[in-house]
Amino acid sequence: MKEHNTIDNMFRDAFDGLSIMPDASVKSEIDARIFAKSDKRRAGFWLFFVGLGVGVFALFAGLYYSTNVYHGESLIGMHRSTEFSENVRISRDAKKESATTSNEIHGVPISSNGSSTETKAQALTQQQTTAKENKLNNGAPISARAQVTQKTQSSNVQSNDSVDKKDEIVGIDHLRLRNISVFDNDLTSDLSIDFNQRGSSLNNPTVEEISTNSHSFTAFVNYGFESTNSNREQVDYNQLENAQIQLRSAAIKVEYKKSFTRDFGWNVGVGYADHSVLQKGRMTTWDSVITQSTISTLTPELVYIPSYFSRTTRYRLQQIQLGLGMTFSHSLFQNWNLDVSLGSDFSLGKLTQLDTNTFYESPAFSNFGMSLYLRPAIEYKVRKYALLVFGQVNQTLVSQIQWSYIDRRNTGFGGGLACRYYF
Amino acid sequence: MTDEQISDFVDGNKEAFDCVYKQFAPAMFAVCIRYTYCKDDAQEVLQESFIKIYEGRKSFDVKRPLAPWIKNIVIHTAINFLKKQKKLVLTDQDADFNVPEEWTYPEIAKDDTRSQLMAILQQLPEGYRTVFNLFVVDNLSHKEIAAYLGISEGTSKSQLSKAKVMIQQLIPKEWKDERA
Repeated sequence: MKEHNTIDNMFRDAFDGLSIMPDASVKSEIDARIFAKSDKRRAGFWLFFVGLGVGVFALFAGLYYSTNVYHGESLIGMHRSTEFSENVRISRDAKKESATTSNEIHGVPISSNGSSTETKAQALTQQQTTAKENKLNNGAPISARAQVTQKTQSSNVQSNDSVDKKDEIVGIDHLRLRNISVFDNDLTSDLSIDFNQRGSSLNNPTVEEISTNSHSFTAFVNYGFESTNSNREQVDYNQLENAQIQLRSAAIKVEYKKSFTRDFGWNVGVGYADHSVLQKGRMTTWDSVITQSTISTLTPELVYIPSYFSRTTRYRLQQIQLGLGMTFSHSLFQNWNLDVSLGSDFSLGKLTQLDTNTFYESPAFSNFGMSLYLRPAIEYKVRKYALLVFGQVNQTLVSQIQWSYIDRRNTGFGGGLACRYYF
Repeated sequence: MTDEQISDFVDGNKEAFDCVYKQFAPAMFAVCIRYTYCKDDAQEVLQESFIKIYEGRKSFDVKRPLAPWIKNIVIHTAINFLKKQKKLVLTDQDADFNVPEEWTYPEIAKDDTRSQLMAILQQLPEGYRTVFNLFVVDNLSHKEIAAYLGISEGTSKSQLSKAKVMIQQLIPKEWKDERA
């Protein structure tokens, strides 16, 4: 007994008043946990509303510009479209004018460099004269329209003698005749179809063509972030695990897009995504602590104080993704498009890094996952190529990593760049 | 610490909390070392303790002394930590010595009596060590220990007894002679 008391005193004396300075990192970690928490939440709160505001502004700005463009006179895309528009108006005028003078002539020659309507009227008069001369010389009426068409067909090969003679007589150049032919078609067919026909014949596609019947390949590179907090209530739990899950995702994707109307199309893509997952596990227990006393006195008063144990665990998830979606493309102004895609990504993947050195609950894992995405993009076109800057909103519907305390994953946000090639 | 500082601490003032940490952290770190196995664990317990101290500050009665209240929370956190780590096993069966781990406290000289006693404590099984710490060093009664650990008073007494037997085997004879 005496020996036991000696040992007791030895330990009491040794540890009485013992002080050892902990590392400075302990205090900084405590400060970070206690005081940085509220600031972080506030910053996140404001960032969310700033982001929302920017998004709404961009949406209304896009709608405003696109409405103006379609209610106005201008056409979208390359400079040639303006020229087409002018030509159409001229040919309509010409139709009215020609209808008063001759039922056989349905067009007006114009030069490709956009000469004045007076010059075109003179050319029309010349055609009428030619028609009359043909009538006189050959003894039979010849339709100016037929003649012009004939000349157009033969203008390059110079094979029709009679046409050559008429050219010599009347002096109408081939270029003008070809233009008459074009606008003769304009007046007997739908104007928009003629745009496409002419555009195609010139081998210089308009933006209208690109957006109606286009196919494209797009390569995307994006980075995204998601943060989800579990909020399981302590009720009925003596010991409770919660966590904050943070995902940082880097992804590449190649997508094929086919437009089936001017504005809408579908897309299918294949991609690879690498997710870095941070699980900030947090174990809470509610411990009864004696309210006030010296250590040696037990009092019946107890208070409950939360006890936290936290540990950060990292996972890495790699996925192959197959995406299917719909795309809405809308021209904002010249060379600029709004391109919004909505679709699903189906993913197959595996955990390539799993930290098992933790007493926290490890998440369950499945090989299959699915998520919805919304991807608004601004597209700048240069001929067959386009550069896109996009944002991306992801909502995981079927998560490959499942934590029992997280019922639903939060929305993830991201963005990136893409290159598109039309063919 | 002045009453005003304690009052500010209860109100959540960061500077006052810094004062509390500065004054009590070294002594509490020593307590954490006694209950844990390595420096990392001791620091983790200290960190969790001070977070708990801050979050539970409203429950502190400013008319009472602060030190016992803080120490109480630290000890409680340490015991909870051991429970979570599943290291704290309290049975009536005899347990073996722990394999002494590498000394991870550069702050304490290795040849110091304190460090040698600390090393002896670390060789005790967790249950023995905890009860020994609570009874001998922190002056808790068996009734209080039983309440803390959720065991019977009898278990507490038997754990203490076995701990002392083990310590006797570990303490060099000359120390005991010196004391005697």
